[in-house]
Amino acid sequence: MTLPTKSSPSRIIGLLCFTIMPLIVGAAARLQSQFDKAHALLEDISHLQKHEQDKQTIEELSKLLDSAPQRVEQLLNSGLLTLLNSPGLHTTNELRQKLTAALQVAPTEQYSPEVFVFSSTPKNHPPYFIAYNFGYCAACSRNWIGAFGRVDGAYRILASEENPFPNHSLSVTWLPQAKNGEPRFLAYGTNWGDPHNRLSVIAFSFADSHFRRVWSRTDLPQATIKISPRKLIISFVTSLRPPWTERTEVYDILPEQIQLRESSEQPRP
Amino acid sequence: MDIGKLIRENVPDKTGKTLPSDLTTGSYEFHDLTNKGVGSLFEGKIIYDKTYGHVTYGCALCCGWSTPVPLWYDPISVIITGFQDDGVYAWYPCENQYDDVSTAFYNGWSSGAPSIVTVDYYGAHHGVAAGSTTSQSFGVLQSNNVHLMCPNHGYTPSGNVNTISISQSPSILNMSSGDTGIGITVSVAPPTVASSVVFSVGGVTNPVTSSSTASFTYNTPSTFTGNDLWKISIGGTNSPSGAQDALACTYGVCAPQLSSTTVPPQILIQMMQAETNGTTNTAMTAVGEVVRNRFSSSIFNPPYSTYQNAIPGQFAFTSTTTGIEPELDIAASVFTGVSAGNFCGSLAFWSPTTTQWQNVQTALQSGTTTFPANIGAPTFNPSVWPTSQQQILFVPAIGSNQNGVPFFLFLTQRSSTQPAAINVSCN
Repeated sequence: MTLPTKSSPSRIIGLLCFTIMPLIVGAAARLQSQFDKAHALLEDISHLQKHEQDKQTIEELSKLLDSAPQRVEQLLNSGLLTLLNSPGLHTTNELRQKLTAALQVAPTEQYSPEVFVFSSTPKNHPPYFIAYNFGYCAACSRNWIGAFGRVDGAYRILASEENPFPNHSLSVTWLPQAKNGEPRFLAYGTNWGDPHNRLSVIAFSFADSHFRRVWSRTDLPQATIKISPRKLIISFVTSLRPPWTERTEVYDILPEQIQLRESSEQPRP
Repeated sequence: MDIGKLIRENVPDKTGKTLPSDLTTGSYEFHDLTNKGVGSLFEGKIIYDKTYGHVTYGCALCCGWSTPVPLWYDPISVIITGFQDDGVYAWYPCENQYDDVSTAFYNGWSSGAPSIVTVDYYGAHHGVAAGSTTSQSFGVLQSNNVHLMCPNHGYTPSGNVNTISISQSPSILNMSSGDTGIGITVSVAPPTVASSVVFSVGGVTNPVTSSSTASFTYNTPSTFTGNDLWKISIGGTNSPSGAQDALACTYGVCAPQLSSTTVPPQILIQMMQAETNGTTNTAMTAVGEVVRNRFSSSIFNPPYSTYQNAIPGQFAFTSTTTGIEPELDIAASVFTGVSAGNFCGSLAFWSPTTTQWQNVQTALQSGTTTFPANIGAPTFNPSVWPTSQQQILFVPAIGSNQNGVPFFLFLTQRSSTQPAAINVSCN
């Protein structure tokens, strides 16, 4: 019988696995924990809303809502950072799935969480632009838009917009980059529970680790929006009460700016 | 009576107590058990030691009454058809206080103007008509003039009488927190007592559905005519609200009916104006009840628990600062719960276009459980209130525009097996 004098390749691999696996499992566990915690908080809110509305339940729910929306946001962002800083290349689809799973507190046939993930350049460690929205009552929601990028070898949140569309739905569309190469995107949403379905639209650009609002139209009653790569068409009524006039504005999405090309008005029966 | 003998012989009184044997000083009182009232017993001096001749003097006064001899009330105020007792006090020097000597003045009362007030045998004043006069009485009291052997003395106290008529209006007052010329009118006769009007007020009540409680100030008029407006100022911030009762009184006479003032949150008035002005009172009430219904709905409250946090951001509202009508009265009725309905539990409303109304009519006629598209309804967070749980209410009483399109349609909760749209009265 001979004693080994040095490690065999298989033993080296085994040792490495023992060293690395706890880190991977630990990161995964933390990741799971953060997304799960966010999900659990939203489940708690949903559970209390379905409970009989006695005084104690209302007080408990009220207390929970004092901090839970912000806490959900913190947990989701922390989970995203942990995921992005874990080994491997993470696709936008993976990030979207993680966020969607965390925010899915109602049956999928009833509700699809509003989650948007973009990556501006296909490289090893791309920046990610992430937006999500989650509701916590029939007419209230909180949303977040942020940019994640690598700094000193680790992903960090480079810029963020805290709840830019409070109590609105949220949609985000990627736009052609600006002339100076800045990434641009359009975010918009309709006010929940509003008899007038007022829509707000904001175009953001990203440069020097900051978001910049380059164009916006807000509180447009009964508005619809159509977006193509080079054109933006918004229709809305000009007053909250009838008789209504519908105004249509057509914008060119130019490399330099978003510019009104034409507008027209016509009665809306 | 030989006090010395009582001391020396230890004579007990009716309770068995004796005077100490070394007693030399002390106070005493005696009662005339035979003659009541003024009586005939006169106390002059007391000798307690006949052996050595020790004499001391009593007060040697007649314990009668002296001036002043005032009436209980001057002026006395009495409401028309009401009664108010009056009486007489007199100064009693022996005890250094006023005594009520009203019984000595019974049957001595008279009125300066029986057309304004009458006074009965006992001094009870009865208001006949608004006005001012006097009343007086006459009675005999024993004086304390020892030199004249305490003769009886007649007194004729008199005082002013106001027969007061007081009323206030309105009994129900709704006002806006921004109103400045609104208040309570107090009608008082005679006008001379108008400046003495004060308001007795209750506490401010404010439902939990308002986050800001108003303060009420009743401003004294600068001049008085007997028919004066007491303007009310409302204090507070962020659409303050509340209700308070106030009762006008003067000289202890109060109006028979108080005024209840209600201030609804201004944001509710502003919302009703923005959303429903030019439609119908039914529509205006309904949209107010929609907001109120959200406070009792678990899918809205929390966080939407007050008018102040439920209206901004959800509904349109104007910048009107005053109590325009009919918004003010309807807002007050919704705020206080006088409008006790819940409009079928509606939680949302909107004004459809002609095309949207046609789409709703199709759903109404088919009885479908599928929520129709392109109807312009408000959107909600689908994780909490999906369209499969929303029911469209067409309420004909809301009224329609010139195109026959209802001013408003409403949304309430349903189970997914119930029709997506129904025609209902919501009374």
